[in-house]
Amino acid sequence: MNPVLLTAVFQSAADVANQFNGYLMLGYFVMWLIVMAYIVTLVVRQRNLKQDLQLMQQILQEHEEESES
Amino acid sequence: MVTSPRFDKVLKILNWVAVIAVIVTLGIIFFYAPTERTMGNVQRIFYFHVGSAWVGAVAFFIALFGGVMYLWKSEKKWDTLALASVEIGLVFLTMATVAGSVWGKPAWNTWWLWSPRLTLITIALLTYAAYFMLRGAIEDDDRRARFAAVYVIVAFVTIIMAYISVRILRDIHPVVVGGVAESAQGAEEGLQEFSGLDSAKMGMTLMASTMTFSLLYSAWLMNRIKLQRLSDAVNDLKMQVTARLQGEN
Amino acid sequence: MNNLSNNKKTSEAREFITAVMAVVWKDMRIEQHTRQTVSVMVMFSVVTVIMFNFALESNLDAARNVSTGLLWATILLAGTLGLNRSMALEQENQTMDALLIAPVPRNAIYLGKVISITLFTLALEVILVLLFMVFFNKPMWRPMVLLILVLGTIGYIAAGVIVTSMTIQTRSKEVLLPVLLLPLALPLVLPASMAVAAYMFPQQPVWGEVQSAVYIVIIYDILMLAAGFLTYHFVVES
Repeated sequence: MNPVLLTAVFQSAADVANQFNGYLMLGYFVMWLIVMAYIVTLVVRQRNLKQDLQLMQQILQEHEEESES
Repeated sequence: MVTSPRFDKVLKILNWVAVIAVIVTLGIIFFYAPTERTMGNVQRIFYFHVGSAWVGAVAFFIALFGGVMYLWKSEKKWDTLALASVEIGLVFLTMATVAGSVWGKPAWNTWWLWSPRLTLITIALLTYAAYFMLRGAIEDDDRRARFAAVYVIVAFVTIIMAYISVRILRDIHPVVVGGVAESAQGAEEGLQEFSGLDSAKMGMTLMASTMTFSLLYSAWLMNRIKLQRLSDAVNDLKMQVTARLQGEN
Repeated sequence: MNNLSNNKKTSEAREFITAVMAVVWKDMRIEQHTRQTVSVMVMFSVVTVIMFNFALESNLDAARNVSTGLLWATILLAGTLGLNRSMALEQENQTMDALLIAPVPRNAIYLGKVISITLFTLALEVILVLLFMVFFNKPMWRPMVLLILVLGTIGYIAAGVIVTSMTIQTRSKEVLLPVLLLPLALPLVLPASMAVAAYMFPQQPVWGEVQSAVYIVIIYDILMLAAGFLTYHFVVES
């Protein structure tokens, strides 16, 4: 078969396959964002709670030491 | 103290397994799965879209289970399960919706469409978001858990009905004119086009994606449960501290 | 032995129905004396319809096309008013507490409230249908339309009583109800609205065209009533 024609056929096939790649990237990017956002909220909340826990335990401990002395 | 060492160990392993699964699945999606004939590479969104939607639906089922169990047994762990499951389900549903929208634009030339299926999704999103509004408005622990459980059950009726409507109402002629109906038709057909999979490879990729999301769900669920237990422990201590300080006065 | 247990069941059933009727009758009597609930709903609805009319004045055709949707939207919104008023009355006057202390089965209270508030809302809808016919010139008096309105209202109030009983016990009270209830009502209102819209044209639809929508409404009613019946106990216990 005519090689020029063949390349034309192959080219347009690849073009068709890739024409919406922008949307593909956008889609995965947004999903990635949502995943990361949720993980970040989990991590931040956990850190805050652990801090609060430490603080409360500290207060209670100081309180007990006071009442003992 | 808040969680047993075994819990923490399983949690850590699960976290790592989930991360690895995501990376591997992304590889499968982009290198193993074949390119789709009509739309090209953008169709690859489909794998994450379906995976997250499916696991999201399962998450809501598990939340329903937690709600019913709480009403039956009144044990806090069931309420925690429901709460965590609804939250994660909501995240997955949002992911699926956004991914679907981004896929819809090149497919049907519209970001959004009030097709029965998308209307169902909107209802589900609104309903489960409202779950958190309800929880936020109640102070008493037991009442909050009880009401949340009742709400999850009522919400489930809504979701079932919306799902049935999607199946049945396609038969009713839409009372619309022109362009909207056509793209709606295209949307419905589009949804059906991709439920028939081109090749076994696509099927395998889809399975891999679904498994990954299940792992992600499990990891997030354990993390969220741990978070809730921490929160409960902090609240307990806060009450103790308040009591002690008031006792002083 | 069998006769005894049968008799017990019949008398339990009879007591149940008596309890339901008592709740309904109480609400009717209160409404008769205070006229709080229905009048508020009617006032709100009249204002809303007039507002819609003004908003759509520039495009009367569009107005007529969306009239069934507007009808349902008005019913939903006015319904939240009625639900809030009726349940808040129970709380204010502590009649709910009295009902709970007396050995009235919880689901009898639920059914009673659903029936009474449905009746109030249906009274409102009579006026709404008239208003809509006048302002939007749509034939809403057709029997099938009225049937669908009745069926839809039952389902809406069935969900509404459950949710309202919860929201009045929260800090946000009235504000929270629409946020919770309206999404829950959508799977009911959408098919109902489609079905009613089908009757707005000069050529009446065949039953086959609307039957799926009507069946969906009926199934919703049954499922929601069942859900309320089974869970109301958990909503009112303190």
